[in-house]
Amino acid sequence: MNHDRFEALAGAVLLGEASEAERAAFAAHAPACAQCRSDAAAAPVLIRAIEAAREAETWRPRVDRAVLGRIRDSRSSRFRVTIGALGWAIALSIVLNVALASGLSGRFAGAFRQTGEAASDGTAMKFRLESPAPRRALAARPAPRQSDVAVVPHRRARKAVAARAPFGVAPRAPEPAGERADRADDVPDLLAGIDIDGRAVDGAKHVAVEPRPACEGAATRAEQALGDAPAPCPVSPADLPR
Amino acid sequence: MDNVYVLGLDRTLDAEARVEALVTQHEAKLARYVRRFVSDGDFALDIVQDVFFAAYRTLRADPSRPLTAGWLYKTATNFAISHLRKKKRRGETLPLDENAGAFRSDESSALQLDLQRALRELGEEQLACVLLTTYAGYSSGEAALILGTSADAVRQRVCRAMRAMRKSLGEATA
Repeated sequence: MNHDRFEALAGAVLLGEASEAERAAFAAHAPACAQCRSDAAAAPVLIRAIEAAREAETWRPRVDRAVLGRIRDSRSSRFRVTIGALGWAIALSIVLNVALASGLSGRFAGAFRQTGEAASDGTAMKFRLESPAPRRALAARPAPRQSDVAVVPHRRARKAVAARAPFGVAPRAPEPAGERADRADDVPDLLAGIDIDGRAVDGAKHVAVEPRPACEGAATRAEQALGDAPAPCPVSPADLPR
Repeated sequence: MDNVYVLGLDRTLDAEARVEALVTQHEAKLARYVRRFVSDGDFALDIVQDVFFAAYRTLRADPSRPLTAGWLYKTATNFAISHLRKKKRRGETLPLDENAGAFRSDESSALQLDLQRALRELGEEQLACVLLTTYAGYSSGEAALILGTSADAVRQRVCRAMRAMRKSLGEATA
């Protein structure tokens, strides 16, 4: 048994917690150990002095008000934080609702929306795609972009034209550079390189299809609206072969 | 002596009411223990406030948790040790005669002041063992539970602390 064990026994004896067996073991060790003898003799005086100091204590500390005040402060600050967060959330919600209701959503959504039109005058189907410009740039632009226009003649119109013009349609002459630049954003012509008889036309990038046959005296829509229009074009959709 | 394991508090109360009951039961005893530990009444009051506020936060987080008196003393001991280490790092250890006005009022004898000085010279672990067993009135087994060690270790530290205090007091009286 090393001396640490006897120190623990001495501590138990000093604190009055030692069992009979522990007291006997310490009593057997103490006569042979000067340090343990002096510990056993002097320590009880110190322990009594500490207990006397505890009994003589007149200090009456009061921390209840401070602690409870701190707890209430903590609760009220938590409440304030919660209310503040709730207020901010409500304010943000109101702002978002007002913004969405006032058309902000349209501004955002318009940037991704494409409108399209399809019209037919009996001889050709016209598709027109329009990508609206952003609203803030609208004032700077004179008109919405209308370049994405595809003109696709009806099959019946093409046949009619072919019947009237058996010689076919010659490829369009090359355009001057300036005019080609103006058409730079045209959509690809689906009929490019193919004449109306189905024969390939070398080097033709655009096939100019005149869906409405040339007709002297054909009235324009404006003239028809004025009432003094001459006889309509003899090739009407109803006359086209089915 | 208080039950070191579970305080007899009504768990149907909310955290604030339970802490209020804790404060009423333990504030004076705990504050005196901490004052002996740090040798400074003002710091002791601050530490005790921190301990009870920590108890409140613990009860608020887990109302079903059984709070023990041992938990209070363990928390107070940890806060006091932390405080002493901070002071030691900053070199703020004032002589007991300058900051122990509260001790002078009720411990007018030179022996009591010497005793407090001898306690201050103990190491943190020995001081905690001595104060828990001889001042707060816990047994070595309960002190061991509070400090997270064995009862034999507590008894051994008490024995060594007494030896060191006797040496310190012998030098003071010589």
